[in-house]
Amino acid sequence: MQSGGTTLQQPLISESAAEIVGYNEDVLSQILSRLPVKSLGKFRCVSKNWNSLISHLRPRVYSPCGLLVRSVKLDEHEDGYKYEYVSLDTHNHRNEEAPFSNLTFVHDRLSIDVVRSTNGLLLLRSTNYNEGYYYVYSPITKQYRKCPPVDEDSSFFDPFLVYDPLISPSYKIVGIRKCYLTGKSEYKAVIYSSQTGSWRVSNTLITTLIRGLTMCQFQDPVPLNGAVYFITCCRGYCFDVGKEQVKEFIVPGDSGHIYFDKYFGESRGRLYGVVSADPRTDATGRVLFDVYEMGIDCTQWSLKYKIEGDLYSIFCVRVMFVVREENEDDSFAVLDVYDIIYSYNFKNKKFTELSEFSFPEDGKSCFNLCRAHLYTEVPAFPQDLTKVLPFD
Amino acid sequence: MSITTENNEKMITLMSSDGEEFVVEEAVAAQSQTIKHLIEDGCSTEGSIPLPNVTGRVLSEVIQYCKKHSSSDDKEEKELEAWDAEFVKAADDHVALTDLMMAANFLDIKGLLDLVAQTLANMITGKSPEEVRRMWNIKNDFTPEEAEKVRKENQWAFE
Repeated sequence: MQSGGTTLQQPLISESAAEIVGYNEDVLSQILSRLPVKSLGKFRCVSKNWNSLISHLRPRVYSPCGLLVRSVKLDEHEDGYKYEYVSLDTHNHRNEEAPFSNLTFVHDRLSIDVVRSTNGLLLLRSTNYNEGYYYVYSPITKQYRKCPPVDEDSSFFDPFLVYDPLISPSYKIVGIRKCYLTGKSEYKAVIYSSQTGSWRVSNTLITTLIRGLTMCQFQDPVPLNGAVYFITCCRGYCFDVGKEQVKEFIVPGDSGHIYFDKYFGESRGRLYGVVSADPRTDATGRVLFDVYEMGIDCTQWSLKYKIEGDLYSIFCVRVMFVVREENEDDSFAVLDVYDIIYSYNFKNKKFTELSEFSFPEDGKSCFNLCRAHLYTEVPAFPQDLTKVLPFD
Repeated sequence: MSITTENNEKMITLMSSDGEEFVVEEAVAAQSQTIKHLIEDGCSTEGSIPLPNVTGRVLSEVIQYCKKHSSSDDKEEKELEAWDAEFVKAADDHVALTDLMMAANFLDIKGLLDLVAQTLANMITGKSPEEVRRMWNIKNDFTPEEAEKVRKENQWAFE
């Protein structure tokens, strides 16, 4: 008789069904990829196969699930910043439960600030710049590791985290240091490795800029596939953190007129840059921003999306993030419009209000949408995060 | 057997593993990529399409889903969502859902696969590893030492 038949009174699961769900990776991944990270942690204990499958899951949870928005202290005596979590899940793909409702680092007298959010890990910095300690923190496990201070003898740009558990369980913190020499400045990377537990300056010279070019500022660097991309003076530089090699990448508008002043970021392995729309190419008069996407071979940008709206609103719309979804029709931008956070679907051009949290009326704090980070749930954590909050 | 209704809809016959036959419109059946390819390859003209991995009980549910979703392109999205919710609720338990999931996987019907996978995911989210093993007859093949190690590494998930 065929398994799974209808003749059994008490429908025991058919043997083939059990095999498939218990052991068929295709089907099982379909279910596992929809689970919140906490359940995945538990289910690593189910069997060897489940444990290994969860380790290699490229789940939906690799797309960002929420935003961390920082409160600004208005009251000097209040301790610490507070981070609110805003869910991005407008499609109900996942279980609605937020991984955490907010983050507070209460005990810390000097305040701790979130510098980066990368694949489930947060890079925190004690805001006492004399100390300059960094923390790598997992908000899910509430475990952290304190990294030694950087020897900041010259300008040091906000560092970023290079961490992808599918590639390696170790992580690196990489910052770009500007070294003043006679008539010019040299840029080099400063790298902290979780394997060595210390910082060092890379020998590779990323670029040299003639001093006096005050217009030349580094745009926030973007980590992608083990490298970091940044734009300065309308030139793009890609620093491969593993090989410590530099390559240039093109930035649209060779004349140097266009560079991504509205947004420069990464989503699902692609780079995105946003500029104000060019009125000459816009017949509708409704396009506010042009969104460019870098091809997978990193040689060419293409105009991928347009963000439309009433033209008078251009001055109050700020592009916070571009998010590429597994299903392209779901890709969206996160916009800040008069301090309300919206998602904007590129396909159907619909705005959806995301931030339902009310701004505190106690007068002591408010939220700073400029200091927001995308948060991504990832079902793996470096094993060297050992200490548990509260910070010592 | 290829027949045509008065609406000029092309009909095809699907045969389940236990020999039950279902006559459906080709447009309905073609929501399954597997069946669509079989039709394109000319397998339907020979007679009914045999589906050796799907029982009649499960196939009738699958067809119900496909009918609803092929006729409702222009319908309210909300209504379809509500229908989907009722549909998986009627499937009742994880056994029926698992059968449905396997069928959706074999027949390659993305919408149904997404729906059932999400339902099963919601169902197991709060469960313990022991409960999940029991649900799907999964053998715990960790040695006691390994089990303790994995448990320790993931202790945060149990708190």
